[in-house]
Parts: sequence; structure tokens; C-alpha cells
Amino acid sequence: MVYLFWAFALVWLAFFAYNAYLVKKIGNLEREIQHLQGFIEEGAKSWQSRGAIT
Amino acid sequence: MARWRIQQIFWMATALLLLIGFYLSFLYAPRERVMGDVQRIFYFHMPLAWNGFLAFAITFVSGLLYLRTRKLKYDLWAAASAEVGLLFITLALLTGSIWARSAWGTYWTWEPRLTTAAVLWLMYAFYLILRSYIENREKMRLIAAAYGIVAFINVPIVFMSIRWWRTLHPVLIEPTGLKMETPMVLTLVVALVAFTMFYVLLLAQRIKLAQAEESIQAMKEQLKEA
Repeated sequence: MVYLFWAFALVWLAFFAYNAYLVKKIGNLEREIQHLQGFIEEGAKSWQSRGAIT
Repeated sequence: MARWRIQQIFWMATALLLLIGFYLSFLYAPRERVMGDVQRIFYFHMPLAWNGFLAFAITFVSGLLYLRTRKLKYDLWAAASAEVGLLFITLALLTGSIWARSAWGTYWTWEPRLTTAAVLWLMYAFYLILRSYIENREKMRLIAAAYGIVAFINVPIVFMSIRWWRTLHPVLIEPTGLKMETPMVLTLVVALVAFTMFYVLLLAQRIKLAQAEESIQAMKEQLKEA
């Protein structure tokens, strides 16, 4: 019974840890994408405004 | 929105089926006469191994599709499936070792099934290392696709090893059918379906992560050019 318990616990701890890692990393990357998108849009606006001055 | 809803329903269905699988594995399936309760490890050991094989089959097919079409999505599928598959095979090896400690008196022995499975593990671990070490991304994708195709050769060898060579590992699937009682077969089928659905969910998550990484890479390159 002890072996069965350890095998079961090991499998589900590993799966929960892996899934938590995926969810956390996806969240971080989505925030980074938004940040970069904002950066790109600002850059494009700045280029457009410079074009308008010159 | 509809996609998100389908994903939610799929998560719930998987969780429910896993719970039914736990109930069947621990309470419904009869106690094996010789090995006792430790035999119940089999109801997750075998689905883990099966999903590892399935994951590597997807890496194999995606590799072929990538070489044929050069579409990025196939490379992402191949890499994601290899990583998830490696997790499943790692857990299959560990649960098998725990069972072996009770049944054979040792965690590990160099018999054909265990040896070929260990080689399989090393091959896919190397696949992931290979992907992270080659800097030229186009070249990396081509080499990884070719390697993923070649590495798959070991999957049928692992599966057939207990039939081709003399081994300690139990043989349950025979040409005449499964060597188990009906409640045990039912438990195994439910566990197989539940774990396969769980594999699909993990794969979808891993692909989403790979897509986000690719988007960031593309954006950074765009910024560099600007």
C-alpha cells in the first residue's frame, strides 16, 4: 500500500507542478507580449509624428 | 469565446473521468491475488507509458509535416509533444520502478523492457537539449524534425521488447486478448481514456506557451530592425 501511495503521489505532484509551471509562464509571456505591443505601437506613432514634422 | 468554453468543458470532462478512474483503480478493480494492492499502480503506469508513445508519435508525424511544408506550427507541435511525452515516460519509468521494488525486490534491473525504455528516455531528453543548443532557428527546426523522425524507431522496439526477448516484465496484451478479468479491463480502459484526455490538455497548454515564445521572438526581431 505504501508503494501504491508513493507512486500515485509522485504522478500527481509532477503533473500539478508541470501544469502550474505552464500556466505561470504563459501568464508572464502574455504580459510581455502586451508590453512589447505597446512599445511597437508607441514607436510607430513616434515615427509617424516625426514624419509629419519633417 | 467558443474555443475557451470548449476548453473549459474538456477540462471538466477530463477531471471527472480521472476521478472515476481513481475510484475504479482503488475501490472497484479486484485485488490481485499474488501482488496485492501494489498491482493497482498498473492502472496509471500503463496509461502513462501509452501516452508517452502517443506523444512521440505526434512528434514523429509533426516532424514529417514540418519537413514537407516548412510550416512553423508543425515544429511547435513536435517540440511541445516531445516535452509532454518525456514527462509521461519519466513518470512511467518511476512508477514502474516503484512497482518493481515491491514485485521483484529491486527498483531497477537491466532487462530488455527497462533498458529500451531508458534508451527512449535518453533519446527524447537529447531531442530537447538539441533544440536549445542550436542557435540558428531554421537549422534547429530541420535537424530536430529529422531527429524526431529517427528517434521514433525506438517506440515499437520498446513496445515489442517483451515479446522479442526473454524478460521479467509482465506481458498482458496477447494476440488472444488481454490477460485480465473484466473489471480490471474496464478500469484500464477508463484510465487510458482519462490520461489521454489529460495529455491533450497538457499538450494544448504547451503549444500555447510555444506560440507565445515565438510571438515574443518575432516582436523583438521587429524592434531590432526598427
